[in-house]
Amino acid sequence: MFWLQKNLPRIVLAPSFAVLLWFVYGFILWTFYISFTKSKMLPRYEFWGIQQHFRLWDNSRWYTAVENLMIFTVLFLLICLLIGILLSILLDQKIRAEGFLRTIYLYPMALSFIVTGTAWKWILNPTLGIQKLVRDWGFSEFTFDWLVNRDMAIYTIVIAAVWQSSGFVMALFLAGLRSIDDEIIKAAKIDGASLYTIYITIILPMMRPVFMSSIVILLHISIKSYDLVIALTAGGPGTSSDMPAVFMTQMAFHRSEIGLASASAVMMFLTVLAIIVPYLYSELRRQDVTR
Amino acid sequence: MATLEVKNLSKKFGLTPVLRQVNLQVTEGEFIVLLGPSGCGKSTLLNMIAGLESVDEGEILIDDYVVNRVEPKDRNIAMVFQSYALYPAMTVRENVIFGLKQRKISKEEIETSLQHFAKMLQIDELLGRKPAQLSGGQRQRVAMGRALVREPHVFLFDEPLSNLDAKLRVEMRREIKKLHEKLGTTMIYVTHDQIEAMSLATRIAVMNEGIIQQIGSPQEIYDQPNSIFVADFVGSPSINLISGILTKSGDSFNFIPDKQQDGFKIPINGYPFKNEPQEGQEIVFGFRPEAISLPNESLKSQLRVELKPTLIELTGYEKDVTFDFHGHEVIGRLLRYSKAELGTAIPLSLDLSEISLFDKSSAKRL
Amino acid sequence: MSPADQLQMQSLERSASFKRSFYRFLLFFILGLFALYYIAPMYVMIVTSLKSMEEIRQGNLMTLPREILFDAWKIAWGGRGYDAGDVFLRPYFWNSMKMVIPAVVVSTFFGALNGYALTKWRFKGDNLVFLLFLFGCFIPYQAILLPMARTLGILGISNSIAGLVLVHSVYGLSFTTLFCRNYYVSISDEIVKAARIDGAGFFKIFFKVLLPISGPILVVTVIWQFTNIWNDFLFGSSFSFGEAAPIQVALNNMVLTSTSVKQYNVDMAAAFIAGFPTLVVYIIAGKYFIRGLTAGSVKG
Repeated sequence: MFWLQKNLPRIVLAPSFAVLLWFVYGFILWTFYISFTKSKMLPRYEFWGIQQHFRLWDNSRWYTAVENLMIFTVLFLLICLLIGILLSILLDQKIRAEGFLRTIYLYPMALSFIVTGTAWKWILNPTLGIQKLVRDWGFSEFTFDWLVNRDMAIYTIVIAAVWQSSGFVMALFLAGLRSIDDEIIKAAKIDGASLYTIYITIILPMMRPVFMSSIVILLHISIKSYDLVIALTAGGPGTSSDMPAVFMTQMAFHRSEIGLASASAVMMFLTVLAIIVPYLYSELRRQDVTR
Repeated sequence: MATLEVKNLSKKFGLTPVLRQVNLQVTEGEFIVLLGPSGCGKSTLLNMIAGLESVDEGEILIDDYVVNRVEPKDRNIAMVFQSYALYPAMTVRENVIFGLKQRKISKEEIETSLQHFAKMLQIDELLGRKPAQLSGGQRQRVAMGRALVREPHVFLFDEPLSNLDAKLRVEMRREIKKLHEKLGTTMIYVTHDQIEAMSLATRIAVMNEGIIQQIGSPQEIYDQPNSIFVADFVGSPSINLISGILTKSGDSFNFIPDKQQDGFKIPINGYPFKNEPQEGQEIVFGFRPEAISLPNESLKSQLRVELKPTLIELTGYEKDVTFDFHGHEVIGRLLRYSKAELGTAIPLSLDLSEISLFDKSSAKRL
Repeated sequence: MSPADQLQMQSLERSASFKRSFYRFLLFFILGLFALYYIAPMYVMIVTSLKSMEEIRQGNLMTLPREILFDAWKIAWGGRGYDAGDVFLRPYFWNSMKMVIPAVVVSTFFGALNGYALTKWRFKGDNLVFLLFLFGCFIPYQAILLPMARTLGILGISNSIAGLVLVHSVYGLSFTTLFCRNYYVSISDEIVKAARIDGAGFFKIFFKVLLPISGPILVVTVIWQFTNIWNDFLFGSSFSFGEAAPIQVALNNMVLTSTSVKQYNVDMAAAFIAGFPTLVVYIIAGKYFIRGLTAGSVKG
């Protein structure tokens, strides 16, 4: 009876923990293993070394995907941070309609990437979308065909993703700004600092943890981005707007290249690992210090 | 040169009035303490003087000039905050000179004044540190240093000591007092701690519900509170307040406490009434715990009583004894060697020259 | 104060008040501009969905419909006017509901229980266990996709709603545990101690003491799970097709595979329908929605 009392918390946790170990960590190892096999249509479990990884890095489509991911990540990150910080600072100026504006800035976050992609696909439609709108305004030569342009398609994904996620950065920063001691801002005002100086030299340096969180979350979103690409460009035209996540599912479910797909999944996993582990480490250490 | 005047100042937060028609005149070199419970409007008043809150109605004048619409930085003031409000990402040095840098003062001048005040406050060893690496007392000193280097005409303090522990608080209080004596600058200091107010102020303004209830020297506030609120708020343990009725016999008045059957009364002779009271008026009779002592022949006007202690609390040099005073609970502050035992009545003197009488319905001093 | 000082003060006043009103104007201008940017796509979606195809071709994105038509909505929802084999949303909408509700309930319940066990009954290694859960929030799902497909096949529930319920319950567990754990950490241990001294056991304390005060975090958790599962596309498209697909998959198929002429009005109506439930949740309980978003990032 006493034993049961003492171990009840562990017994209660056990099923969830077992599920976690199997479905998360077990599956990740499983995926690692498949990436070391010759699996094509179905898994085959004889060891094939790191051949799949060589094949992956020989694959030009994978290169396109990685290159696109880099373009997308840099732009998505910078623009989201820029818009998010700007809006949060502006909203922090004791605005009467703040609640209303915040609701508008953040609602895209409630929509799925498929809905977002569907809407933007129509807006960016090369014949009937923005192009037609601007031509109707009198600029009859205006062309906007990024959606079907091999070189520009990736940027349309950036546009839609920024629309969907920048409000989130705004919300994070606004929460951060609100947690700053009001007296610090008062002190700076009395010291004669302009609002601009106050934000640049005093407040933004205090927002380091928020910067960290935002960057990690945005990186995470961009590495996993799949739905939006599918809905907006489906990786096209051709494979010009492919991303690693799209590459992976394509190989896994349409090209019968399970081994190759696993190799790409392993790459994605390792990338996330490289970002998340230092972040969690510093985050947990910070909590230990403050506790 | 540095005077401050507040004329008919009013302020509302939404629909709630926080300040109503406040008037205050401060002359050069005064140390004014705004004292009151939380929510009485004292911090709002200070923030408005600083220019951190806008003025709804009325005027604020610094050196005879209306500053209602002048930015805080141009008001020639400095402020010390409760949370110290040090800039966390900057070192002590950067914190202290931040204000001077904003004013584009030459590097040499900044350095001289930094060194001067850093020495004065004994923070010269800490200049390279970040606020997070400082103790509470050190942060407090840095915050003071930041205010001092600006050499303002008026210093504003917003409960600067309330985040410190008891011992440090007394220490810093003394330092602020010394500082005021040394610099002679006008200071305005907000606190809810009446001991701080009593020990620092040249004048105290007691505030409640957005109104200055009374303004005067600490002694005046303590001895002649003009309302029950002021009497009760200032002093620890609090003033004893007993309600009852004023009766007249011949030329002199007597006070009969409520809940009396045995004909007990207190003669009121020579009390400086502001207005002639009426027979049968309901009043509140107040006296400080120090007014009770062991029998003392030297008191000019006194009442001899025998009271039973119901609770004895030793505070160190003195003991606070709770007595049953004809059905009312009163506290007397006796010297510690005074013999007092629970349940045994002891003879005592009540000094009648230090009493305060209030009208019961208006709560104002009679 | 000298007259010169007075003059200087006056000029300070004037420049201060001018600056204030100018910045105020600029502020509202920029905020308004961004509001338009965020609102525009929603406006375009609704306006387009209410037009006929003919009008869409004649007008542009911003023009209001001459005549408000609900035909596109009827087609998107019920399928009238489409060719045989075309997709419409009604059955998939209910698929999503049948998938979301059990998955949210299961994952939230176990998340609360885990959070409770991890914070109020500390045991050796509890921090490591939590860390493993926490890490589960961040893994890219591509890394578990293939083994999951295989496992669903072995269990005989691939391409079924039951399979998707399992997947979402399992991968939601990390988030629900994280949310509840962080909430219970902030609740005083002393109420648990008091309840133990009063003779309550593990489950009694959970159900009678903690659960009744868990309202806020349960709302946050439920909203988070609902939104994420409703909006999921990766699992839906990987583990289901045809009749068992959830709504996001159906929407995507609909947009991609219409056999007749492209009907943008129907696409927009369908997109709106697919986004509607989460939008309603956001508008009704926006505060909790935001708290969930920030709880996932700023921990502790």
